[in-house]
Amino acid sequence: MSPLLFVTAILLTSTVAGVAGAILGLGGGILLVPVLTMFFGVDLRGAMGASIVSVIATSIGAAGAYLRSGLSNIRIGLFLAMATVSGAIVGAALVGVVPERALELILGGALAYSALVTLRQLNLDVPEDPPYDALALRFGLEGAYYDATLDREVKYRATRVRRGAVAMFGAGVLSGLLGIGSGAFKVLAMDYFMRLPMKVSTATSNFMIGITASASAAIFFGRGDIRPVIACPVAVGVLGGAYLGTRLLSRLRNTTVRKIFLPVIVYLAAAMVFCGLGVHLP
Amino acid sequence: MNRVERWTSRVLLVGGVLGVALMVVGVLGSALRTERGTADSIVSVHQIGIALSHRPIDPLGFAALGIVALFVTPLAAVATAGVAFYLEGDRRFVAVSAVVVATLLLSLWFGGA
Repeated sequence: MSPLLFVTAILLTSTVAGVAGAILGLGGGILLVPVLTMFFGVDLRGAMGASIVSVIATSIGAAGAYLRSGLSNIRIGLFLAMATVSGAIVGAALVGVVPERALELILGGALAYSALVTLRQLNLDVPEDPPYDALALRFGLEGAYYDATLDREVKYRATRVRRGAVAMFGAGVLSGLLGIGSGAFKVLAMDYFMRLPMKVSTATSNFMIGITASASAAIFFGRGDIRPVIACPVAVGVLGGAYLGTRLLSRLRNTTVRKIFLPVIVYLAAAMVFCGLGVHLP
Repeated sequence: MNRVERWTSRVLLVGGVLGVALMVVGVLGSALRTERGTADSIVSVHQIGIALSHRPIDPLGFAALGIVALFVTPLAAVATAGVAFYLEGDRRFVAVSAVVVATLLLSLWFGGA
């Protein structure tokens, strides 16, 4: 493959990853890592380095727009980031102590359960009148956004904040221990435990994934895993794609986002369970 | 949109544009250059300094600086949000922002970065 074709192909793939990442609140690594390794011959470390660039670029590109549109809730994001980043430190400290395969099996099971829960509430558009939560009231974990598809302002408030924070801590442990992004867990914690509208969950996850990824990015950079020739088209493509994704999300219903999200967590659950059993899916 | 959202989204925008612009300049400059630079792979801020102070300048230094700019942007956004919360008199979220920044710095230290 000629260098120009190589860069163009990476640019286009990254644009698609950026669109998906911005809509689903994920970093896009789930798409980029297998494509870079299988189709572009990039080694796994280089692909993971590109993936961390993709996570941060998605977050920067999407979160900026979502903050302006009111879809991303900065208070909820920062409150939960305390739990996620602390979890990441604990996870990093547990590397070599906790058997990774056992953890992968447990988390795969948890994701499979979450997939079932998501399936049960697949057609729930906006959670109606969730119970009051003392922590949410004290920290003002509520907000409103204009939903173009419903043609009305949607008001929401977080509930079961403690459970959400524990789930976020778990997501952080996973990130630190396995070195993976945990956008899917973040979205699930906000959607299922805290009963936030799906679009607010994915948009707020976009703000949070950049914060947690910047903690591990320095490690990737220091190891020489981030190669400018790959990272540059990835960053440009993902930023552009994330911008397009933010425009798309505002036109989608919460139920549609959940329907797109469901196969992703089913895949992640299967991949994690198989990983725990020693079989690696692409 | 209040001050917190406005300032934070502006920092994210500026950081993203600056990071990508530096990366594009670095990679294009490196592709157009026939002479070999100071390093094929730059893996620390110190090496970025060396690449940019080398004559002729190693364009990969700009690319690496762009990567670092991208990584620092979310941290800068949180710090900016903390300042905006302070100006709005929201002490709870000044503390929350400070905890997030401190924990991030701690995680960088744990990572040996």
